[in-house]
Amino acid sequence: MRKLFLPDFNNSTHPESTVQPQAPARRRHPRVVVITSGKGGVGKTTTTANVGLSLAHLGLSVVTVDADVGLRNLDLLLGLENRVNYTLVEVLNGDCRLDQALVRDKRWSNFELLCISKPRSKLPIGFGGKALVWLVESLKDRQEGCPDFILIDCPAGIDAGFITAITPANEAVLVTTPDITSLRDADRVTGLLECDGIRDIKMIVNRVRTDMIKGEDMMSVLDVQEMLGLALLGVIPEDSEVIRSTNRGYPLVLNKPPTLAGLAFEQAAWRLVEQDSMQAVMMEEEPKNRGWFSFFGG
Amino acid sequence: MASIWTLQLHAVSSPHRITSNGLELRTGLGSSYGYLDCNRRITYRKFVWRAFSDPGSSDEAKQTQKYVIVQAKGDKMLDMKNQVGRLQETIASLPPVVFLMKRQSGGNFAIGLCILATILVISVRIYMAKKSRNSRPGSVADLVRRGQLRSDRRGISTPLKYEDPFNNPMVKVGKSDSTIEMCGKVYRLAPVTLTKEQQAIHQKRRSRAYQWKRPTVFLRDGDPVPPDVDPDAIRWIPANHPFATTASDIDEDLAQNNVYQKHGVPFRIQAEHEALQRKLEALQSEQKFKKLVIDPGAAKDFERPFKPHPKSDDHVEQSPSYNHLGPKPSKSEHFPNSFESHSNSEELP
Repeated sequence: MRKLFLPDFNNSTHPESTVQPQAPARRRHPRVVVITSGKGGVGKTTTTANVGLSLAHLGLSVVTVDADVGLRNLDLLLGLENRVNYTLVEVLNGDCRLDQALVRDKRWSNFELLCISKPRSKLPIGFGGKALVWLVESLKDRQEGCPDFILIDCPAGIDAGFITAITPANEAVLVTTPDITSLRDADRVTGLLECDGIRDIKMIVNRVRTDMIKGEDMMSVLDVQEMLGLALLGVIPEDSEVIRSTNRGYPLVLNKPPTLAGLAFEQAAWRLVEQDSMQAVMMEEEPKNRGWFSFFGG
Repeated sequence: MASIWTLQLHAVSSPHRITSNGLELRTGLGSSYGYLDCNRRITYRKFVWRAFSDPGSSDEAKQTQKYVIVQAKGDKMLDMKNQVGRLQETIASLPPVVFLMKRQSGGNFAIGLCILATILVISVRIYMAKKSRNSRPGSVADLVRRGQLRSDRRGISTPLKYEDPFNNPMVKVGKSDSTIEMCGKVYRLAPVTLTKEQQAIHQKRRSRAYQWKRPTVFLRDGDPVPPDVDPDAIRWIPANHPFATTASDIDEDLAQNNVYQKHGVPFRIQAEHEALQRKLEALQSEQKFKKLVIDPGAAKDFERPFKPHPKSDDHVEQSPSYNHLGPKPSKSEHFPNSFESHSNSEELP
């Protein structure tokens, strides 16, 4: 297994993607990763919640930011909706401090959530990006220590919310599904990210069904990669447990025993830490060797 | 081999030997049904016995007694004899094994035929399924037809055999082909084919297709365009945009300081608290002032009776304590500051 190392970044917001092995030391700069897609409903928030908790499970300190100004739902997925009292808007207005707006998960003390705003309050256009940059700067020198990862859950679309969310990021995780509509939007978003200076972009292909790929009714992961030309961070199979976990407010990765999708999220989190990408993909299911009676259809 | 011993009580006239204490069984073997050549012999064992009686009784009584005892036991033995006889008859009625095998060979043939037919049906089904899978292209072929996917770069549905060295430590899980088992399901693995050159080609394509600059200036409809501003960096907010209504002048420095604040009371809370404090103080001072003003109706009780004396008139004019009808101009000078301060605190946000 490769040695775990946490690369250090310079002060620029959008550095070129580099991998600099370094001995584990106290971080001064967090890795700010924006999780975006373009198209809505592909699994950005699910990915943010599960990858974030997986990173916390690995012992890293994580702050997740729900950057959707109008429609907030990361707190629902994490089961923290009743504990969100203050948001970043209140911090900006001076109604509370930043540490009072951060919600610490009781299951994993090194995981925190910050929502940008409550549904009825809005952030003026053009101001949100600056606010997120100040947020990252403020988190760097706080008393609890600089977080290792700041994950930003980007809203759908390429409007003001998207521009706000990508402002402080220096890495991006693009979530897509293997259908043509999602891929087109993902390609556009990738282009915008590269225009804004974010070069380290990796892809997670969500809701993959190997049975449909085998029956040639769904594009394979390699087809998706051929269309977008992005390195693969993870492949998440379709799993009905996702809906159950959303209803429970209990992310997949906390399930024991782990589900297939939960395992895939954990692996994606590990690759994110290692700044690695997938070298092979799961193509199809082999029929399992069954007993003699299976010959007769049993 | 097994031999069937049968007990048969036989009123014998054959000689027997009687011991002093009991009875002696004399067995005789006989075989019947010699055609059973699978070492199965039905044998009869004849038991002949005679019991002793009380030596003191008379001979007749003894004999009668003997006979009764024998008779009683004889009934039992007769039952057994019947059962044995029935068993013998059953066995005799069974056909020999060879004969049975000859008769049952037709059934075995039928069973074998059924098994063969099942195997045939299953293999035909598998073959038909494979054939149909290969013949039906699937809807992804339509994407190729529409030009969304390049057909020459595809070829993922055929399984890859890793006979060639596959120098990837993450994939070598299975011993023969590269397979991985997750959650009880076995998956075949295929290597990623994207190269660095292909990635660079895609990046170039996107840089040509998407030209975008981050907006730095946000203007509403009707706002003048500031000079020396890159038009690409201007973002026009439509009048009906929901965020257009919330665009207000925000003190950025103040907001930044609020975000950076680590300790103490947040700014707005502090400001509101201070404003409230000032208002409270102002109210308190106003109440104090009101208390100092003497009620004319109540003051009459304390009024001294008027004495018409020249000296007393001068005394009254000089004493300030009798000026109780209204605030003196000199006293009013003390109050304006508090009123002003009260109005200032209300203006503070």
